[in-house]
Amino acid sequence: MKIKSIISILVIFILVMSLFAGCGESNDDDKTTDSGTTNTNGTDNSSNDTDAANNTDEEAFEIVVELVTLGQDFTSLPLIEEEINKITLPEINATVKFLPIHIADHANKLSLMVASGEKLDLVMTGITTPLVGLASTNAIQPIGDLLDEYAPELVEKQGELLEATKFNGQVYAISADLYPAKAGGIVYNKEMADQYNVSVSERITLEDLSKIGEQLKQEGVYLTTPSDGALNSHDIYTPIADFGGDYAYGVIFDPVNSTEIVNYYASDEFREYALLLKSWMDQGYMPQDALTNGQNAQDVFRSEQVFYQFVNYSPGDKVQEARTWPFEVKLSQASDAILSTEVVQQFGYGIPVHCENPEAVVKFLNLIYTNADISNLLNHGIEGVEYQKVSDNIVEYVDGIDSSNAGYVRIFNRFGDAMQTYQMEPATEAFFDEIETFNEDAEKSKTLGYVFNAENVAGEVAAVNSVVSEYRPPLMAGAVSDVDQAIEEFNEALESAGINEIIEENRRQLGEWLAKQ
Amino acid sequence: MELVGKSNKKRKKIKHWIPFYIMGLPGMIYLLINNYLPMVGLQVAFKKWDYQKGMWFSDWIGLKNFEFLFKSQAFRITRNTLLYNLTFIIVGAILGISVAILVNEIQSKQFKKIYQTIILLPFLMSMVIVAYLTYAYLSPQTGYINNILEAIGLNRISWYSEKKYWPFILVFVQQWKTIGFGMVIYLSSIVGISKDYYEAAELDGATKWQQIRTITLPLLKPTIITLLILQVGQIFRSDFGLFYQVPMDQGSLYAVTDTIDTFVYRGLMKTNNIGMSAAAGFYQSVVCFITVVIFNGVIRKVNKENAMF
Repeated sequence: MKIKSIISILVIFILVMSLFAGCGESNDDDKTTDSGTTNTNGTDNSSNDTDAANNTDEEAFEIVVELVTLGQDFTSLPLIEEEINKITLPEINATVKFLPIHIADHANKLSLMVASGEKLDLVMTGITTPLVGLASTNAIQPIGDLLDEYAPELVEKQGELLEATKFNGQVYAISADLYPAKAGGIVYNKEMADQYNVSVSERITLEDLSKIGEQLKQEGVYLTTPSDGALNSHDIYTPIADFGGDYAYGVIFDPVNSTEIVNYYASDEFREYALLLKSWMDQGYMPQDALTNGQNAQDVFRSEQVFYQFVNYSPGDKVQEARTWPFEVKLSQASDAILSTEVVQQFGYGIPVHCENPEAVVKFLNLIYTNADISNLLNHGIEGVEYQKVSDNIVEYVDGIDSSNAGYVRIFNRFGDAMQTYQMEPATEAFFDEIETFNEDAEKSKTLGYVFNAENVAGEVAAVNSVVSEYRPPLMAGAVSDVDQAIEEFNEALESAGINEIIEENRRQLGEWLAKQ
Repeated sequence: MELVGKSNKKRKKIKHWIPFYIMGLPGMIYLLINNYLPMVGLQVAFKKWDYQKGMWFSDWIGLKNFEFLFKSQAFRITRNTLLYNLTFIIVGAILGISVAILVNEIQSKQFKKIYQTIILLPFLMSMVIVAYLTYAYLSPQTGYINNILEAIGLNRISWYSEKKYWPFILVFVQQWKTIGFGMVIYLSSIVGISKDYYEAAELDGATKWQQIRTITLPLLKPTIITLLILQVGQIFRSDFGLFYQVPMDQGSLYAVTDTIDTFVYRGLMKTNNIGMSAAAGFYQSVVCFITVVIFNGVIRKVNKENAMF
């Protein structure tokens, strides 16, 4: 029958074609960015260019820069690359190529690319990829000497921040933000506050929040939600140094004045905090099904079901938050501003170990933090296309464009020296003084520069993390029936998981570090 | 003369089989590359991973990567994994065979197909969707079950904080999702049973139940045992979606929902430790392998032809 043979040939054809479906560019560069990269200047790189880029007769080295995003396709990237290349090619004989990576994949992607040797030259360290983890497994390379030689201006601007990006005495990353001091704070819905006559002071405490919760409950509005993205982190309300371990490595309460490491979960502070949260839940300030409904805190806040959400507080964050939400918001500060290893390491830049020309990358880093044009390109895109100037140093999106359809939006990366970069509305010209004062006034943690290396207790850390993910969420959501009993069980489980070994190791390392100061 | 005859025969035999070997070649190459070649990666379980040194030159650290699997919660996670799997196997077999027999009895051809499709459909759903379907029933505020309970005068139950219900909930959800698969396999075997047996039995006056007990079940034995061996081979693994997504990752339920896979995931998510992750996979694979071999050996002793190898 003819139909049968036609169908069978069709099927064979499809099967054979699907064989070739897997054959594509294994090079990640082409996957996400527009494949029409216009590297008009200089030739496209030869990855075998191992010689120093000092010699301008050599082929230009292409620097692949990681861009951490929320998955959008940025159409302006090739244009921005072209503009940047106009500056970098003559100055450092290098061109730049962006590699957008979704933040959820960031840690995995980084791990895979380093392991397989795929070209990647500048990576963001911090948020999903703790610096200690990358440094101790040699995923990134030490860059202290390179910085001194090829990026002296950057080193000067970093100042003591470079102390906080060291591991085993060597510098592995730079702080991406030159003014990283942060305080804990809350962002609240100003329109809701006006509607219900709620007054929120500039400096807020937990007691104030409880009172506001009561007031809002009368109106049928929730105070806050502890769900997924916002598990009521204690360090918003009081500075706590946790060495990047999410409180599992032991903590220092009041790190500005003390260096004593204690078990956070066995402390009175934790107990009181858990009891407070339970009272909030019992009195109805937080939604009952917060833990299970799968909504994350940002979405709940955006849909105006709750009054506030916690944030980092700083002049930069104030501007950022004002732009993020579709309603009017204000920030209140909840704890003192602090400069600690944790805040410095939150956003950093490192160079993967397999990068063939780290000198060029370091020179580029220097450019980012000294050249205002590059900094503005990286932060805002192209003038006239993405942004327009409102005053000397303040910019806004071009009419008709916003963060959802702009050709480029800087999402998670931090670039450049804030002092020489345009700021977006609602920042004013006063912003630059604000941020300088904020950082100068911030207190320094006594452990600034100390990094805990958990290698020796990796097994205990894994077990403790598992215990924490079991017991902490219900406690932080006020969803347990008996707080004291829950805490007791929690601590028993922690002890058998080995939290005391971790704390001992931490104390020992801290002691050694302090002795060397 | 004889020698020539023999080699002729051999040549004919080889000639006969060559097309089949060639047909199987891509699959075998794939198996080699995908399953056997990566076995060299097992060494990562015993090493301290260093990106610079890579797989071959990272330092050996013996069994250190395995320690975390045997600390505080080792008993709990192993117990959960094993018991759930055993339950799934036993209940799955009973239900699968029952449903297959029932579907087989359906006279209308059209309805037979309809029922098969409906029963098989959940198997093709993603576990995340199933988790939210379950949530629709069990949500403390808005779930169907709680609303029904309230309507008939009983108290609402906070399903996601009470451990005791979850063994039943998980078994129920798992069976709902996977019964289609077992049914299809058993059904295909039942269909192959000659109708003559049944007719003879009816003539002898056997009841339906007697027919099932004496004809269907014994003739299904090879299928049951094969499936059994395959499932026992996965006894230390668990469906991650079932144990992580469906309980909505609630800490208060971990005591009865934490399995080896979820434990490893939760423990290593934050630290990105490659050696320890490899060690966990290694542990599971080795134990599963040993279990299969032992189980197969037992079956062999009992009835040689039913064993898989």
